[in-house]
Amino acid sequence: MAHLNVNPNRMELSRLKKRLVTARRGHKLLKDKQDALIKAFLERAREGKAIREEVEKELEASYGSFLLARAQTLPAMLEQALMVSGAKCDIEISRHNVMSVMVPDYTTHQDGVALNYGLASSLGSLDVALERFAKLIPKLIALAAKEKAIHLMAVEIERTRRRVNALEYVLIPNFADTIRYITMKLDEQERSTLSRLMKIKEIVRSH
Amino acid sequence: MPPAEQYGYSVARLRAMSGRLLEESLIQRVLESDDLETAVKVLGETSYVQWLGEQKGTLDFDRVIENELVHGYDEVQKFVPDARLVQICRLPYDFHNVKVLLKSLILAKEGGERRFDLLTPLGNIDRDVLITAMETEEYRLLPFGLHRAVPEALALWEQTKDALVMEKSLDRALFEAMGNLARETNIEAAVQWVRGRIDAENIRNLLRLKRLDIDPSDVGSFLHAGGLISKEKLLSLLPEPVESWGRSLSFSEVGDAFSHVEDSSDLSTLVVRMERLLDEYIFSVLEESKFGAFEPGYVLSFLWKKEMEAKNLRIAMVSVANDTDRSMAKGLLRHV
Repeated sequence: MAHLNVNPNRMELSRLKKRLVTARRGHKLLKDKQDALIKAFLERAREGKAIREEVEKELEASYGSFLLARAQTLPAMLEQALMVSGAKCDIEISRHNVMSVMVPDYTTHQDGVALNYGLASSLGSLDVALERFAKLIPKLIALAAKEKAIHLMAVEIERTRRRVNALEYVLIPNFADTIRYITMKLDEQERSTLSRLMKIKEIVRSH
Repeated sequence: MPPAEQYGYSVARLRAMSGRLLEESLIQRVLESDDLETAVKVLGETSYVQWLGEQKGTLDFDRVIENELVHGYDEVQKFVPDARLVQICRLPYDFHNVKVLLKSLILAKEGGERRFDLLTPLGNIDRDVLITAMETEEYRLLPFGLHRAVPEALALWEQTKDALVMEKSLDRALFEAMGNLARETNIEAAVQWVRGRIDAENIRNLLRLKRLDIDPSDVGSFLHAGGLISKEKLLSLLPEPVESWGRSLSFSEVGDAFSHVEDSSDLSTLVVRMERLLDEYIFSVLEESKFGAFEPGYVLSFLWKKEMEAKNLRIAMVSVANDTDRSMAKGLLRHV
């Protein structure tokens, strides 16, 4: 492992020792954060999977009903029925902090009625499909929020993991090596000074 | 009314033409195709082959079905003694075109685009004529009561900004126009058929509104006058369970459509099922015209068969295109 390009003196040694202590404490904290994030991530991923499976099942049923309407009428008539929407869906976004990750919360408010088309030019299966889609929207939005949170947490886990790895495999070993290098250098200097002094003492004594 | 003998030629020709209608076995073959290309190949063995060249890819089967239906209507209109019989059947498409143009006007005012691509050639009124009339607000020359219905619908939109109110007014005008046309022909079968269609539409609407749990005081505005069953009678059915509707309507033939209804717990499935049964009931209204050699009702019977053929074919093609459960599609097929 390479050591840092520093002057091998006591001041630098003291500074590096302090940085090593800080790096080790930071590494421990980040490791704890990473573990907690992974735990929260796995919980959310499990919840997200369950919601996704439920939503996909309902989405399949909704598209099935829509397909029934599509199969029994002219596509132009189907589109005509849906040209002007009678319902409105507002989404409010708020955020909360999970392990320093700002996770979004989406709240939906649906106003109006899905039935906004003439009954003579549409089919009952369209009512069924639209009703199913309308019921599905809050779940879809909740799934989007959950998956966004999972994505943000995954990014944060990855970032934390990189930091932990950088500290564990680069910074801390480098500091340790540099400290060892400076200590060795200082020891060598001390030994050299000692031997020089001994030599001088010997010369002085011989005179 | 033209003398009954005049229909001798029309009925004979229609009987010959009915030989070209797709048989159930062919629809089954389409339905059992592995992919859309195979289904289109099956269509190549039928009268639909002439429109296959205009297809912009296998997914464009709706164009083929629409072209064949337009061709069928045009052909019958050429030789039938009273063209109003064909006009009655094409009228819903005129009202569809009007709705498209009205909604396009609304959307254009809000910065949206006009959807002229949704206009269908199946209507009686030429699309360009209709577009010109709507764009220039020259409604007075529009036929089938549209000269009154369109400004009324626009006024309702201006007052309420509610597309449903506008559509209800147009739907009402549609069935009025169908009834008027039928009465003008002086053909009893046509009058009875339109009344049957109104009944079927009212029952379909009633069932849909019951499922949607619409306020009972609003339900009346969705029903149309002119059927064999009064609006009051139909409204009295609303609080009753659907299983008992058949008994309450047993004085009318439409009550037979409910003979298969045993369980109304799942109204969503029932609505879809009843749509098929009511389409079959509309055909059954013309049952008596089936065998007569001079029956004007046979024209309507043939045209409704043609409509159902288009519907069945579309069901089969959509099912094949989306690779859905074939048994579900089979359940939707109309047996006329």
